[in-house]
Amino acid sequence: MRPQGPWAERRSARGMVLHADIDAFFASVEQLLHPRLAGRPVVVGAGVVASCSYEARRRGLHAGMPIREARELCPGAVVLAGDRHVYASFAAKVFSALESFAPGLETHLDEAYFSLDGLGIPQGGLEAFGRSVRAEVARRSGLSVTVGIGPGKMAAKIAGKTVKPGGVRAVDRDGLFEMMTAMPVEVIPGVGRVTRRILADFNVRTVGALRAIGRDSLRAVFGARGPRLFDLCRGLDEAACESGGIPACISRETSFHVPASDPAEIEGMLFYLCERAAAEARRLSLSASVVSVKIRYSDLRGDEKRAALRGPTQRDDVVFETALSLLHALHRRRAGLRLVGAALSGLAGDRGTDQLDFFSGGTASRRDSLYRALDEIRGRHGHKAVVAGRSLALLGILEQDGHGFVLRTPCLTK
Amino acid sequence: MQVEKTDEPVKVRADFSEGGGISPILLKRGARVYKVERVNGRWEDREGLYRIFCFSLTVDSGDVFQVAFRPGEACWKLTCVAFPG
Repeated sequence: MRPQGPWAERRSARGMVLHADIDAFFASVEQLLHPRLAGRPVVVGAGVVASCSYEARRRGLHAGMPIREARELCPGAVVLAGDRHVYASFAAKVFSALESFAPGLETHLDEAYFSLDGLGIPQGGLEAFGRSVRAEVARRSGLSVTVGIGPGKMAAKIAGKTVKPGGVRAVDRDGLFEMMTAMPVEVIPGVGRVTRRILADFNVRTVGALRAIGRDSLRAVFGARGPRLFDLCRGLDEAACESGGIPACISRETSFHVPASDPAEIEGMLFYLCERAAAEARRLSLSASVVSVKIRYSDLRGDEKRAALRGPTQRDDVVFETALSLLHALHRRRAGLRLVGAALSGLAGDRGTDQLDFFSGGTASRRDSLYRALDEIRGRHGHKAVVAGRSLALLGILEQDGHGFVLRTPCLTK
Repeated sequence: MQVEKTDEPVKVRADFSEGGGISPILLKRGARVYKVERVNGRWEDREGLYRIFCFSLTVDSGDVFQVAFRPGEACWKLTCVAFPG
């Protein structure tokens, strides 16, 4: 018997992926919560623009731009500091609406992918399906998303880019090939500033021009990445949607309200960030092998260093010990710091406890128990229930709420 | 637009529906009572295990109030006020 309902037409959507991107995420949430901001240029961020509304983008503002410059370009813009907990809650609403269509969502900060494998193509075709996804997200969250559908994650994302904001577009493999031809090389995932510059030296600026370069030549220039570039510029993308996969890194960073030069404050902040990153690793049952520290001086010059840990760990003290030595190696100038960050990478599934040190006399397992106990207390009563270690230095400098210290720019993107 | 953060206890009259939905109707701040014209948005926050229900409300004065309801303590707090300026 033929299936009935919206999925009656059972042509396969095998290999097709849907990408949903929340339009101007943080700024849209602010416009939703403050109806007076609708239609006005809205900027969210402190120090630099984290997100801005389309009204602001039309005046040349963009993410990453210093707020001072944004104010000069658009004096009428409403600048808000933002609240990442509110945004996280709205992102969860959007993802929950998307999950009602298909399980196994791959989620990022303001975008998600899901595979249409096994769903079949609904009556009305893929774009009609995309419109129903869009409508459901708007109904549940009040936010607008752009939906792209294509043969692979890259295709779906590129399809959506052509109809932002608030559009829906589906492309097949041939359509994607044609659509990408005139696009700049940056539309290809993994092509950033450096790759773009190298390609520009070969007078390659568009995807179409990139296709003229052979696989071996790309391998000679870009190494192992070359053949992937060769495939991607032809629209061949085998990357699967990953739900609940191991993240590449867990990072925490913030800027200071005023440039910090007191070692106790800087080290206290680094301890707090390491503590939050390690707690997240424990929550995800992951251990890290590498820690990196990033700083930015008050004159905006910055530097970053990474080091391997003695072994995979998820312990605050082990992470902090290495992070602190990296900070000392990095912070050589007398200028105050505007930003500090810590990141854990080389993440792998947790084996339960850290490798025991023969000479530690059981310290390692006691520490493990301590951190798990702290996680439990904070999970029950909020992070501010226990302020530990060097982050005590932040008391009196920073306010606290139920989530911990209120940071100036608590890496809204993490 | 001016936005002021606050942490002020307020009284709120609200509808609690069977499905767990909460809809604020009136808000009393000091001696003044505001009628809720529109719920602009609602979201959930957490403090440890405890859920906090947050609302953005446009009231009859035209101001936008953000309020938070803590079911554990059965109390409402005004967390943010936005007004023209």
